[in-house]
Formats: sequence, C-alpha cells, structure tokens
Amino acid sequence: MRINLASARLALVLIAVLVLYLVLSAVIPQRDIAEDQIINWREYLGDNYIVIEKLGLDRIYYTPTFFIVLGLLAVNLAFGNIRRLRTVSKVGGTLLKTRHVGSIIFHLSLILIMAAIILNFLYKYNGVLAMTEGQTLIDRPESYHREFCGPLYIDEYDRFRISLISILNNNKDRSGPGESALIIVQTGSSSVEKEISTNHPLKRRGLEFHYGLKSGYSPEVLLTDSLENILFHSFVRIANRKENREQFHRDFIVVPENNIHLEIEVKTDREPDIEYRIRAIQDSVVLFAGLMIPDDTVTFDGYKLSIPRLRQWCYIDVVKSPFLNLVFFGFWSALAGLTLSFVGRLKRVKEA
Amino acid sequence: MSSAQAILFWATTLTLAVAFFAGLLSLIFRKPGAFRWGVCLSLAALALLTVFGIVRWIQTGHPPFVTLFESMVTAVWFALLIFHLMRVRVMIIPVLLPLSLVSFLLMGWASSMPTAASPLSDALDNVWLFIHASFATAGAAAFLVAASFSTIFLLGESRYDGMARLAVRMPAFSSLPRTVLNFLIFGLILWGVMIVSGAIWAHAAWGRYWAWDPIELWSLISWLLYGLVLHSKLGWKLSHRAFCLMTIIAALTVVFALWGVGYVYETIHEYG
Repeated sequence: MRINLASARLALVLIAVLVLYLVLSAVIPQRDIAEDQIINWREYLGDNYIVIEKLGLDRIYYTPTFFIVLGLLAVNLAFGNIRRLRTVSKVGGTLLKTRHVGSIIFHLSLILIMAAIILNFLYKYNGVLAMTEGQTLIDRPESYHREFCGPLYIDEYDRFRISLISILNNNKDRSGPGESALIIVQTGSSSVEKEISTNHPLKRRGLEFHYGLKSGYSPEVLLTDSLENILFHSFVRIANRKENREQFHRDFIVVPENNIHLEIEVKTDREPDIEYRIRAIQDSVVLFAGLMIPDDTVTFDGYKLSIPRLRQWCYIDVVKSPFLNLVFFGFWSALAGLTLSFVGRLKRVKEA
Repeated sequence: MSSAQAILFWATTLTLAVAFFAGLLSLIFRKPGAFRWGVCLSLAALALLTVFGIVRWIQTGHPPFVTLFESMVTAVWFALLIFHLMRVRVMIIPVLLPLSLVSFLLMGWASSMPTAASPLSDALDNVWLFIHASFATAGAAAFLVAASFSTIFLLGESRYDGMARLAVRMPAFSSLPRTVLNFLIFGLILWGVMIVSGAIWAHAAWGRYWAWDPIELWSLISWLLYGLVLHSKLGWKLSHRAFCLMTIIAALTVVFALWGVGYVYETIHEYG
C-alpha cells in the first residue's frame, strides 16, 4: 500500500491520535505534574500499575511514540503545503488567493512551532535557587536546590553571582511571606540591582531570574551546650514535606557530636503570630517538646536553644529558553495565517 | 456581589428565561410576534449584562474576567453580542432558542459559583490577563454560537422551514453548515490567541510557557478537536449532519476546559 504523506486523511488520523494521547494524559496522572494522584493510582491498581509504566502512559509527553506522531504531523504538513502550492499554481496561475496564502502560512507556522518547542526542550535550562535574605550565591551546581536541563544543554556555570538583599511584602494588608525580592546580579564586570516579582523577572545575558512560587520564613537557630560552645548556628529554611499525604513545613537538624536531633515545624507562618513546634531528641529520649516564638530561649538538659531572629527565604528560578522567541514568532504567524485564511474565506462567500 | 450587581444579574437571567419561552411559544403556536418579543428580550438581556459588567468593573477595579463566575457571565455577554451583531445582516431567529437556553443555563451555573469579587493577585496583575481571558470567553462564545447553529441544522429542514415562516431574511437551510464552519474558524482564531497569550503570560509570570496544567491541556485538546472537525469537513467532505454533531461535541470540551476542569482537577487557574 502506498502512503501519501501529503494526504489530508493522514493528517486527520495523526490529529486524532494526538488528541487521543492528550486525553489519555489528562486522565492518567503524569510524572512531575501530578505526583499525588500517581500515589492514588498505584494504591488502586496495585501491581497492575506496572502496565501503565511499561507503556509509558505516565510520561506520555516524553515517549518516543508521542514525538513520532508530532514528527509525522510535521512531515504531513510540509508535504501537504508543497502539494497545495503546486495545485494552486497550476489551477490559478502564479497568483495565490488570500485564503491559500493564509492556509500555507498557518501550516508552515505549525511546523515552526513544533521544531522550536522541540529545540527549546532539548536546550532549555531551569535552575531553582533557595535563598535567604542577605545570602549571596555563585552560579555553581552546589548552589542549586533543583536543576532541570534539556538533554542537549551543556553545563555553563559561573555565569553570575546573585545576592538576595531583601524580600518585600508590597501589600501592607497581608502579613504573610513576601511577594517580591530585591536582588543584585553580577555578570562579568557589570552588576544590576532589581526588584523581581511574579510577572516582573530580571533579564540578563540570555538568562531570566524569576521570583519563585514559594517563600517563607527562616528562623535563625542557635544551640549551645552548658559550656556555651556553639553546636549549631544557622538560618533554617524549613522545607515543605509530605508524610502520609499531609503537608508539613518541617525540617530536621542533626548534631552528630552529641547525637542531638532537632525537629522544627512551622505552626503559624503569618506575622505577628509566627510560632514553631520544637522537639529535641537525644538517643531516642525527648529532651524538649514545646512551642517557640522568635526571641525565645529554652534550656534543657544543659543545652540552650534560642531563635534570635527571623529572615525570609524564597525560590529564585534561573531560566534559559534559547528558542523561546522562535516559539512565540511561530504562534503569532500561525494566528496571522489563520486570520488571513478566514478573511479570504469570507471574501469568497461574499463574492459567491 | 453588591445589591446593584445582584439585581442586574438576576434581571438578566430572568430576561433570558423569558426570551427562551417566548421563542418556544412562538414555535409551538406559530406566532411571529412572540419570536420578535424573544429577540427584543435577548437584546434587553445584552443591555442589562453590559451594565452589570460596567458596574462590576467599576466596583472591583478590574475587568470581569478574573473569577469563574465572571468568565461565565462574560461568555454569555459575548455570545449575545455576536448573535445581535449577526442579526443586523441576516435573521437568525431560530438560533435564539438554543442560545438563550444555553445562556440561561450558564447564568444559573454562574450563580452557584462564589460571586464575591477577587482582588488581583500578583500573578494576575498583567496586561496579558485581559487579552488571555477576553479571548477565552469570546472564543467560547463563538463556539457556542456555532453549536447553536448546528443544533438548528440537526433539527431538520422541515422544522427550520416552519421557523422560517415566522421571520423574513432567514438564511437558506443549506447555508447553515457554512455559517457553522465560519464560526468554527473564527472561534479557532480566538481560542488560539487565548492559548498563545496564556503562554506568553505564563512565561512572564513563572518563567515557563507551558506546564501541562489541566486547563492548558483541555484547551489544547478542544483546539485540536476543532482542527480535526474542520479538516474532516474540508478535506474529507464529511456529511453536514456528522459535521454539526461533531461541532456540538467539540463545544462540550470547550465548556469543560473553561468551567468544568476545576471540578475534577487541581489547577493553577483557580483564582476565584
């Protein structure tokens, strides 16, 4: 059987397969997107869940078959346009009608979008910095809380040095963690200071610095022994942990020399009622369990634990999307093509 | 919702219900006068809804696109506007029936949502919100109008001829699929602008233009589904009946993408 790569029927089949894939991805929870639901599905399906994993249905957007469908669609669009150009030039001479031009622009733009999205996926970079007020970090692997890189992205560290001056709460009515961050970014010999917030990133030499989706308070924790020796002294950025499906803002500090395990959980993260639930354990014996607020000091078993002050912390996303402009150019040209095609169609109806 | 807004909202809902029943009665008893009343009432509903939108805009300080309630009401406004703009050129009175019914149902659904105005959060404080949200509601309205035309076509030629006797300047029954097709392409453009502007906005806000959020995903599914319907019609010469039926099915995915996803999934689009 001869397959016509330019055929409209092939396009229909491919679009239908793409729709089917997307509906499947909407029903079956996808990795990195709906982790909570994946736990539910695993519990519900038990060992049968392995079938979903084997078929790659829990990561549809990264399966080879998904890319094959997109690739075939691009080929079909390209061949379809070539055939359309040939047919139109044969029938109507060299002069193309508005609707033909619009349709060709639209379909070529779709190819451009697909190519740009794939290129962007291959070369993208997204690093998440977790920073506390007053902290300075250099662009190095150990500075990042998390990093997501495209398969073809080549590590380029030491691109910048970033200082988080302060986190600001612009809305005086709200008493929660801040909504914007004042940062200084130094690239090469030049540095720039800017307040970044949602919708207002800092763009610098191909990198974008976005104010992250999470922020909170870091208590300064000071633990000393009976001889006033400092056992632990640092700001603790309390992590968001999940245990038995419940969210906790909880962190642990371990002092190996004394085998002390400090558990700090946020009880209230809103000023002025910030409170922490603290448990100090040594050799499985609970030495202290109680609530502490900033400026509190407690003593137990010869140890002194205090929270002298608070600082705010936030995530700062460092983003590099080298082909983003090409993606957006494709989007707009596709819409322009579709509009031209629509206008041409209306004109034809009017003439008829 | 302030008392002025509540009065305007319920007056609109009631007017739409009466417009639907006027159309229905005229169809049953073959009274052209009742149809004309229905059209006038739907125009009154549009005027009331316009005033409602202005009052809410003034009282909240932002256009009525932010909450689910506002997006539903705005979609009804766009659908009524398209209907009455079209009415200037051709009498499309039969469309009044499905359109006023769907609009009434949407208003009823909207009333079950939290109606309190939501302040603009940092993420929403962007010019792209207005482009994104207005094109989303306008696109949904265009698809709903296309679905209304499809419904009329599916009722059959004899019923349509019966309705045609009630008005002058009615388009030919055979031209209805073409009108559906035009609205479908128009909706595709608007829906496309909605997706693109949403991507640009998401990049400005969070540094990523696409996150496979359920609303993003279902919007893309409905856009592709309309693409499929369009190509089936143009490339495969799908029958008019099948085409109209598919348009209605695709409209359901639009309704789900815009207003139903929040019932099933957790989504970052839940601002209201």
